[in-house]
Amino acid sequence: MAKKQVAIIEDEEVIRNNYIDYLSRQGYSAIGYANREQALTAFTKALPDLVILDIGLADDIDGGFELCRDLRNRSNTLPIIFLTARDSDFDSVAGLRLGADDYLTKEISLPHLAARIAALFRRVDAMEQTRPSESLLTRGDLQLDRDRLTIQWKQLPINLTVTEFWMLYALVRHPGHVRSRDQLMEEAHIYVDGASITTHIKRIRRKFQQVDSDFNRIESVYGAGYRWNA
Amino acid sequence: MPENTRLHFTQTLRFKLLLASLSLVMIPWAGYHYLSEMERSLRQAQEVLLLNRAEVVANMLATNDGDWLADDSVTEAAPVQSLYVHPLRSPPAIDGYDEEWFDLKPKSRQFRANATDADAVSLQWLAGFYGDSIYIMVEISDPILIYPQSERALSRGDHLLLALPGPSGKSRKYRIGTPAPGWVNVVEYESNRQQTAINGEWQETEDGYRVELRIPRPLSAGHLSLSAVDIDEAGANPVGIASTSGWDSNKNLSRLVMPTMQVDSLLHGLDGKSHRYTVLNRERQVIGRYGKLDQAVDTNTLLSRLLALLSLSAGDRELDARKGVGRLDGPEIRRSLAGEGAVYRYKIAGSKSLILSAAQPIMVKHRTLGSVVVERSTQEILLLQQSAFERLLLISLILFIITGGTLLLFATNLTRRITQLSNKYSRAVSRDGRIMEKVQAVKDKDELGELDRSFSAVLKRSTAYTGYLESMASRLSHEFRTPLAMIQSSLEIVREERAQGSGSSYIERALDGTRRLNLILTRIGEASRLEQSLQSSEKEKLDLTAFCSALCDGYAITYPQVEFTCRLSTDPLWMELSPDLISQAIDKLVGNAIDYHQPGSAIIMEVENDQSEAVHIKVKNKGPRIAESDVSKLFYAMESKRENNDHQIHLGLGLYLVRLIAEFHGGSARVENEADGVCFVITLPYRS
Repeated sequence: MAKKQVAIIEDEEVIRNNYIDYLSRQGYSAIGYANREQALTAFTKALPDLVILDIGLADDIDGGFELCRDLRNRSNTLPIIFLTARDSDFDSVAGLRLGADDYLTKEISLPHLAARIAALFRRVDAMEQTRPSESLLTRGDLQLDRDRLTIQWKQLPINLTVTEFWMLYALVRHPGHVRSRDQLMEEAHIYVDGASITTHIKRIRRKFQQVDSDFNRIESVYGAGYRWNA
Repeated sequence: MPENTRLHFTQTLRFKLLLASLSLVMIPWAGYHYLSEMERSLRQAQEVLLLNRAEVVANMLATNDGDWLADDSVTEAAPVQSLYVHPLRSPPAIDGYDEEWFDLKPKSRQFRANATDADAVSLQWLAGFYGDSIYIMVEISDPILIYPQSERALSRGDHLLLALPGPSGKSRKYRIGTPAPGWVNVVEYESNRQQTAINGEWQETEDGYRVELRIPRPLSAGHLSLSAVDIDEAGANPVGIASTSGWDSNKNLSRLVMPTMQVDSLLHGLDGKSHRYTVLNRERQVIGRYGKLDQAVDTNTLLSRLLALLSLSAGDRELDARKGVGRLDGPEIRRSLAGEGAVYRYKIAGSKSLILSAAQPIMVKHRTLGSVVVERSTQEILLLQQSAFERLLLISLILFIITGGTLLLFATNLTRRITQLSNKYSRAVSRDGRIMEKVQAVKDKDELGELDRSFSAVLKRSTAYTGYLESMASRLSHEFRTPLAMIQSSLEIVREERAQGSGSSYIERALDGTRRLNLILTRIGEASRLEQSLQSSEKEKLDLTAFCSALCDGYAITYPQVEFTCRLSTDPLWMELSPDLISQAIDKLVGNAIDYHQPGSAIIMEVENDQSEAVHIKVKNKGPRIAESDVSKLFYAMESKRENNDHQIHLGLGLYLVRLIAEFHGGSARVENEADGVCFVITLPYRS
C-alpha cells in the first residue's frame, strides 16, 4: 500500500521541517510548502491525501483561509487541518466554517497531531469501505462511529471536527457521569483554558440543535464539568 | 478620576466674577469726586457772580446822592437785634385797619412767645416812618381775648408792652391796652400815668387783635421793643409774651433800621427771592435790607430722604446768625469797609447749606461811605449736586445689576461648560484608568473648545497607546507561539529518536518547560478572550439559588478533598445572568479560596439577598488575611499578592476576570477581611 501523502503549508521553515521529519517517521509521505503559490502549483497536478494549513503565510495574512476554500472547491472529502498560532474564537470559527476538519493551535504536541491525522485517515478509509463499521456505539437516538468519526442523531448526520468528536465521545462513553474540563481536554488531546472548553461544548450543542432544536442532552454541571444525559 | 466634590460658593468662578464686578463701585466713587469738583467750580462761579452783583449795587448806591446816609450812626458796643422801619410815602391813618399796610405786609416779621408751640401768642411786626413819626402796625394772634375791666388795670387783660430808651441806661416802659376795641390807653409801666405822646387804635381780627401805633421819632431815639402780653383768664398771670427783643435796659432794645427812601426803593428794585441785600454804614450798622435767603430743601425723593438720614445735622433748627441783626460783622465786611470787595462763606448752624456773602464798598469820591453785602445760599448748588448724585447712584446701581447679572450668567454658562467637560472626561476614563468610551470634541471656537479638543486629542493618543499595550500581551503570546512550537516539535522529535535511549529525562524536563510556557501564553490570552466573549455573551433568566446550589454540588465533586458549606436563601432568586460567566467567576473565587484556605477548614459559599435590591455572592475561607493596603488593588489586572511561590502560574488575572464579569452584570466585586479569614463578594443588582 502506498504511503499516504501529507502536505504541510507552513511559512516557518523549522516547524515545517520538524513536521515533515516527524510525519515521515510515522510512515507518511510528507511534503512542505512555504506559501500559497507553491502549494497551489503542486496541487493542480495532484491533490495530497491530507493537508495541514497555517493561516498566516508570511505576508499573506489570511492565505490559509484562501487555500482552504480553494481546496474544498476541488474536493469535498480531502481532510484539512488548521494548525496555527492564532487562538481566537473568531479565527477558529472562520476556519471551521470554510470546511476544515479540525482547528489546532501550535502548542499541540506532535504525537497528538499524529493521532488526529491517523483518525482522519481512518475515517477516509472507513468511508471508502462499504461494509458496516465494527466500532459503532449507540446511545438511544445517538449513533457514533469511531472509525468514520461520524455521528448520527435521530438518523441525521452531524458534522463534527475531530476534536469535537473526541470530546463528545468522552461524554457519551459514560452517560450520566460528569466529565471535568481537564478530562475532556485530555480525551480530545488538546491543552486549552476552561473558557475554550465551554466554547467547544457550545459549538457541539449548536450543531445538534441545528438538526433537533429540542436537543438538551449535554448538561453543564457548573463547578464540575459536563454530563451526557441518557 | 477626580472626585466630584461640590465646591463651596466662595470657591466658584461665579463668586469670583461677581467679586470682580464689585469694582463697579469705583463709578459712584469717581462720580462723587467729580461732583465735588463741580460743586467747587460752581461755587467759585457763584462767588464771582455775587461779587459782581454787590459791586453793581454799591455803584448804584454810590451814584445816588450822598445824603442817603441820613441816619446818624450811633456807636454801639455789640451787634443787637434790629427792626426794619420802612420809609412811607404818606402817613397812614391810625384806625386799627391794615389797608395802608397792604403793600408792605409780605415784609412783616413774626415773633413768637414760644418757638415750638404753634398756639402760643405771636406778634407780627410791620413798621414805617414818615417825617417825625414812626408808625407801627402789629397783629397779635391770640384766640382768647381778655379785655381789662378799666383803663386803670390794663395788666389784668391782654395788652402790649412798649419799651423805649430811658435815662441812665434803663428803658422806659409803657403798657398799651384798652377795655374795648378802639383808641388805646398808654400808661407808664411803673406809675400807671397816662402818656399822650403815643397813640394808637385797637381792633379785633379773626385770630386775635391788631394795634396801630404812632410814636414820635425823638421818643424812640432809634431803639424800641414791643411785646404782646397774653392773658387767657382775667386777673391771672400772663401765659405767654411775644417780644421783639429784651426790654429792661437800653442795650437790649432793637435798633430801628430806617433807610432813606432812595435806598429802600433801590433795594426793592432788586431780585429778592434768593438774595439778601444789606446796606451797612461805616459802623457796620444796617441801614437798608431787602430779600431773603432761599433755604427750602426739597426732600421728596426716597434717595434724598435716605441721604438725609445719613447726615446727622438734618432736622435741626436752622439758625441764621445774621437774620434781623442790627449790626453785622464778618471778615468780608471789614475788608469791604477797608475799600476792597471780598467774599466770605459761613455756615448756618443746623443746616448743611453754606451762605456765600459778598461785600463791596460804597465809594463816593474815594471815600468809603459804607458797604453792600449780598448773600446767597449755596442750597441751589447742593440740590443740584444732590440730584446729580442721586442719578449717578441710580445709574451705578442699574449698571451694577446689569453687569453683575451678565457676569453671573456668563460665569454660570462657563461653569456649566467646564463641569460638562469635566464630567465628560471623568466618564470617559474608568476608575482604574481604562478608557471607557470615545469622546466627541465640541465645535466651540473659544478656549474651552480648544481645551476640549486638546483633551480629546490626548485621550485619543492615550487610547491608541492603551490599545497598543492591551494588544501587546496577546500579540506577544501569538509571536511566542511559533518559536515555542519550534522548540517543542524539535524536542519531541529528539524524544522520538531516542525513545529507548538514556538521557531522555532532560528532554522531558525541557518539554515540561515548553508545556508550562504554553500554559502561560494561554492564560495571558484568557483576559482578552474573555473581554471579547463578554461582548457576545447572552444572559438568560435563571434561579441563582438553584444555580449556586448546583455549583456547590459540582465543587464537591471536583474537589473531594475540600469541605464546602453552602448557605443559600430558601427563596428562588430569578435573575438575568450568563450562567457560564457567573460560574467562571465563582470558579475563580473558589479556586482562590482553596489555594489559601486553612487545611481542614470549610470553604463557605453564601448567597444573600439584602433589602437594597442587591444580591451578594460570598465565598469565604479561613486563612491568612489580606493587607488593608492591597484590598482595593486586588481586583486589578496583574495584581497578585501570592507569597508562597508554588508551581502554579499566577498572573493576577483571576480576580480581574471576576471583576469584569461582575461589572458585565452591572454589579461589583470586592474583598473583605474577616476575623480569621477573607471573604470575597460579588454583588449583583436584583429587582424583585
